[in-house]
Amino acid sequence: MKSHLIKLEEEAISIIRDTYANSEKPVILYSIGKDSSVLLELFKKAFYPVTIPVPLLHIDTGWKFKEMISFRNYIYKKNKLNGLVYSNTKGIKAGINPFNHSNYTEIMKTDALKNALKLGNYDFIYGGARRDEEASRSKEKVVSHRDKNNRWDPTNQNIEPWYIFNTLKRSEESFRVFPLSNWTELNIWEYIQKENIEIVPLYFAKKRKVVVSNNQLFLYDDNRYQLQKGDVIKELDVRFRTLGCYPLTAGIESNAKNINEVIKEITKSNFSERSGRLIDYDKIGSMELKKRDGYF
Amino acid sequence: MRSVSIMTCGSVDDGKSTLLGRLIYETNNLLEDQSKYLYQLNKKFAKKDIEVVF
Repeated sequence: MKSHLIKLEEEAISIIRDTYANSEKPVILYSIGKDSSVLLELFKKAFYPVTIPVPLLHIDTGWKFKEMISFRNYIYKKNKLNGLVYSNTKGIKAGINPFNHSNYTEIMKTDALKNALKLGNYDFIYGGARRDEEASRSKEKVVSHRDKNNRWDPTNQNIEPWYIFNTLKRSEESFRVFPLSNWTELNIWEYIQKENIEIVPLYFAKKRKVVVSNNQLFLYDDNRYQLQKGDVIKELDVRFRTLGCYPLTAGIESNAKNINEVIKEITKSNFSERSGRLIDYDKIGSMELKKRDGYF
Repeated sequence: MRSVSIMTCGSVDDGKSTLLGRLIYETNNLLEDQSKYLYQLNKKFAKKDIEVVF
């Protein structure tokens, strides 16, 4: 394995072990994406030969790509994981959707996450967020403190010398832990290739039915998609660089049908993977505001 | 691939982030959509006589 991948792997595994040793009710936030898949692999290695002693939690908004949900069920079953799923049922009953409700992310993702964390009374919450994804994630600590309302205050964090994590907290407060902090998108792909990690097929190009809307491509995953004026449905070779809720996650035209081709493509690309995520850019500093409020 | 770790020390508004940002810019590690976004930010917040702060 390439030396920088070994370094990143060792770092992540030691982050997992160090923090797990101080936790009482840890949980892994599993988003089904490629970063979560790598995180899961690192957890396997960190505890091998014991199976992962930490439950996985997926926050399901009801609007994830269908292929993500079937992949999640397959992975949970195959690895005999303690796999949990939580949805904001009140929001679903009220018909909150990404087309008509500007507070969709807040209700179906942030509130859902906060409710689920409260129910589980979790103290160490692992996530696959990386610093190269987005500005507010780039200043995030590896072990990041949250107050009892899950709020993030980037200017009031525990002091710690280098990688000696300070896991002191009051009861009901928690930590978000990011073992993949220093990985880039390319590192993730290199690691998936080396370790032969299974990922959702949506990451690879295939003829797919998409909606062309304002020069962006969205998967026509089911007939709940509300077409706007000017939208056209087409069949194109499309793949996704990140996966979220299908009406909010744009794909790209691509011929990259396997990992080697994906790596070749992103090495050449002049756009960040997050350029397809609408909610990151809905207003300036948007992700930071969401993160302060408890979003991942 | 070789990784480099950099630490900047300074007080508030000394230019720690500006220096790091400039290094990313100079080493061609800024992607198109990211730089477009920064120009947008700059338009909103920077003084008129500064073109871009990074």
